[in-house]
Amino acid sequence: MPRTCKIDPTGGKITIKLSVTNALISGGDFKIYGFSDGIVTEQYKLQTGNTGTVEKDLVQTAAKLVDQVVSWEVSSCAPLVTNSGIVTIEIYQNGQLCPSLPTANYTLSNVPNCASGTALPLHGGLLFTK
Amino acid sequence: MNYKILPAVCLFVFISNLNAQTSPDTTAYQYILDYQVPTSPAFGILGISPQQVVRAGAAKPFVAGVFTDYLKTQKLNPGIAIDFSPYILLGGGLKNIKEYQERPEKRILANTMLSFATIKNSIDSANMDIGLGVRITLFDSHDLFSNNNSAITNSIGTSLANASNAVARRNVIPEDGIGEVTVVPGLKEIYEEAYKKVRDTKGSAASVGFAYKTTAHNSILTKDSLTNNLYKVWLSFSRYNIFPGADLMTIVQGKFGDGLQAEWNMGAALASVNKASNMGAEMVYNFRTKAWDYGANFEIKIARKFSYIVTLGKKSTINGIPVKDFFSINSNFRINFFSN
Repeated sequence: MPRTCKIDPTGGKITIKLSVTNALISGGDFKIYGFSDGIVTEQYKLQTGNTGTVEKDLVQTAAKLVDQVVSWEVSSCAPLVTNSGIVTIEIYQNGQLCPSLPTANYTLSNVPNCASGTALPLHGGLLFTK
Repeated sequence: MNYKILPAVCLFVFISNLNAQTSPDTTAYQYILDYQVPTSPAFGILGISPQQVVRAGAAKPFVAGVFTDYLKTQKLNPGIAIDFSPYILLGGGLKNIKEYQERPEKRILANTMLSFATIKNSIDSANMDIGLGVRITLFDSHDLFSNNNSAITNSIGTSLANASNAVARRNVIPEDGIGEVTVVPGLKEIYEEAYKKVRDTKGSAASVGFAYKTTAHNSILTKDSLTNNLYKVWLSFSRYNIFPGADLMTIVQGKFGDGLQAEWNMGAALASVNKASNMGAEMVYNFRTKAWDYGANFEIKIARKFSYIVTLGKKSTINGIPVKDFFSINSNFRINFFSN
């Protein structure tokens, strides 16, 4: 079932949050594009760093984002002795979590160690609705 | 074979190797965690390896070793050793890398190794020698992620992000999926650079350990069947890059056991870790017998995940009992499930 996120067109800024648990490192590509024309209007490369979390405010207003899609591909690897964790992608409007249905949680196991030069990719997306 | 020349040969080969460094291995646990089965506490207390000076340093999550003393006995009589990080294997986790950096107790837990080893008793093969051990790494300055530097984490994250490419197709909302493990361009190089940098810097590591050995008569594990109990405690300190390509390791070790006088040893070793081979040479002073023992070990990678280890050394005691000086040679076939 395609994922949707209901936003208020008259509301405030939209933020994408990428997080990962258990001391994994994640980095990903996020594209925002029109559902009907496929034209990319914004693109970001995000990575979780030492804290395991990163946020990015979108440039476009909520009204313009309605009927646009956020698509992501995120790759993860393990720098320490852990090799499992959960990657989560959340959308916020004015700091309030916008429930994405279904939630974008990815439970990862057998995540390769970063030093091997490999990573485990995942992908997904959602449609902004009003 | 003239065993008297062996120490000189070992020392010569070791010193020659110092000047023939190759680039470090690119596998995960060679970088972060420099731990070898011959320095396993359980292996050590069973006397499988003459290597008594153990490396202080961060641990691997799981290492399994299979040992045979074929060269000595001409029998396969395989022994096994398993070393693992109980905190990780039992589900202990870390919130993020920052927590690993800022909470030393979590770092110590993650780098604590338990080890277990068994081998047939060399005198009566119906009996089984069993070794148990624990090694706790207190600190390791060459652990790439233990300091507050975020540069390597950010470089890795950026490399992952750059390798990712989200789809953008009209009339499509991408559905969820987890792909196959893929190669990330530039990721290996980030590690190689970081590792080379850290290898060229001085630093230190310290660990403490405890090991227990017992002999199970007729290989039966009951309270009454366990004899020849022996205990070891030690404090180990390593100094990295004491000179180019070599680490200095020192140890203070106490041995106690059934019917044995308490014994304290002090030792030092030089170790060289390379892509295809590891080497070490060591000297140990026994305060009770006032005797010096010395030895050397060589590990050669023979295939992916497999390496062969030869250890040899001069000993002056057996299970704490002084004997006429003798040389021992052991071989150890090592399987590391976590390396390439």
